[in-house]
Amino acid sequence: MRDRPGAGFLAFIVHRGTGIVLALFILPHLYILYFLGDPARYEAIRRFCSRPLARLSEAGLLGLVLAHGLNGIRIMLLEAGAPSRIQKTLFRAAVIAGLLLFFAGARLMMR
Amino acid sequence: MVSKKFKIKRFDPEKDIPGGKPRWEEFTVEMDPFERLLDGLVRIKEAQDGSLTFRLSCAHGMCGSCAMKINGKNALACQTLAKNTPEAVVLEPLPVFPVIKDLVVDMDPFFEKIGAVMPWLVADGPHPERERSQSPEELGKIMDAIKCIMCGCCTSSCPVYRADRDYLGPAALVKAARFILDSRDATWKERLKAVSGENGFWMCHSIYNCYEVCPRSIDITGYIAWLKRLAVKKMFFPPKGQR
Repeated sequence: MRDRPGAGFLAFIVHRGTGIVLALFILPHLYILYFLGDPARYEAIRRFCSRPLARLSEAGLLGLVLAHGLNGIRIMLLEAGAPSRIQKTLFRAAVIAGLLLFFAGARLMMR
Repeated sequence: MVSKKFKIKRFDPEKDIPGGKPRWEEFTVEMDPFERLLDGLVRIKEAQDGSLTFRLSCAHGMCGSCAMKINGKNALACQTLAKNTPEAVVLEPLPVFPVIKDLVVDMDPFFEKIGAVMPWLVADGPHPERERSQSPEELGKIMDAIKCIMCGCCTSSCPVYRADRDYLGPAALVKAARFILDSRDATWKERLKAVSGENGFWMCHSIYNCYEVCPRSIDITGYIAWLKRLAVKKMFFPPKGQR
C-alpha cells in the first residue's frame, strides 16, 4: 500500500517540480533576452508573445513562480523557527494565496 | 464487537524469494472497538496462524517494538485502536528496512545511524558523588526529545532516507539534538561535526513525514531545523572531506 501523502510531502513535490521546470525555463528565456538588442528580432518576439497561446503560457509561468516562491517562503519560515504545528496551515495559506494571486494576475495578462 | 479484516503482507524467508512479489493474507477477527490492533494480531497468532510473526514487548507505546505500516502510515500497533481504523486494516512491515519475516524488520541499519551520533552523555569535570543535576528549565529543553522510543517510524517514513540510505535519518538527528541541548553534556562541537556532514541534517528537506508519524508526537523536523540554525549561528562547517 502506498504511503498517504501529507501536506509537507505535497509541498515538497510542488516545490521541487516547479523548481525544475523554472530552471529549464530560464535557459530559453536567457537565449531570447540575448537577441533583444536587434530591433527586427525584438519585433518578431513581441509579435510571438502577443499570441494567445504565448500569453496563456505566461500565465502558467506566473503560476509556477507563485507555487515555487510561496512554498519557498513557507520552508524559510519553518526553518527559521516557526512552529511545526502550523506547517499544514502554512501550506494551505500558500495554496490559497497562490490561487488568488494567480487568478488576479492571469486575468490581467489575458486581457 | 466489530468484525475486523486484517490484510497482512507476509514474507517467509524459507518459502519466499526476497524482493519477490509480496504475499498477502487475510484474517478476520472479532474485536472490541477499544482493543488495539496488536490484540488482533495476538489473536490471529493464537487462534488462526501460529506462523504469523511480529514484534511485541511492552504493548503500551513505550518500547516501539510493534512499529509497522498501518493503512499506509507508520504507527505502533499497540497505540492504534480498532475503532479508529476502517473495517479492513492493511498491515505491512516498516518500509525501507530489510524484512526478516512477516512484520519483523532488521533494525540494525537504523541503530547504526543512532550509534554514529554518540548517543551517550559526555560530561566534563570530575565525576560527582551524586547525580549531575539539572534545573527544570534545562530539563525542559530536552523533555520532548527524550521521549523518543526509537521505534523507527520516522526514519522509515522519511523520503530522503528512502532515496539515500547513507542519510543519518530523523531519529539519529533528534538524538544528536537531545545531547547538544543537554546542559550536562560538554561535546556539542563533536556532535555537531557528526551530524553536519554530507549525510547529516542538511539533507533534510523539511517534508514533515517524521513529525506526522511520530507515535510520541516529538517535533522531529523542528529539532532538525534547530540543528540547521545552530550550525549557521555558530558558523559551523564540517572539515573538507566530510561535507
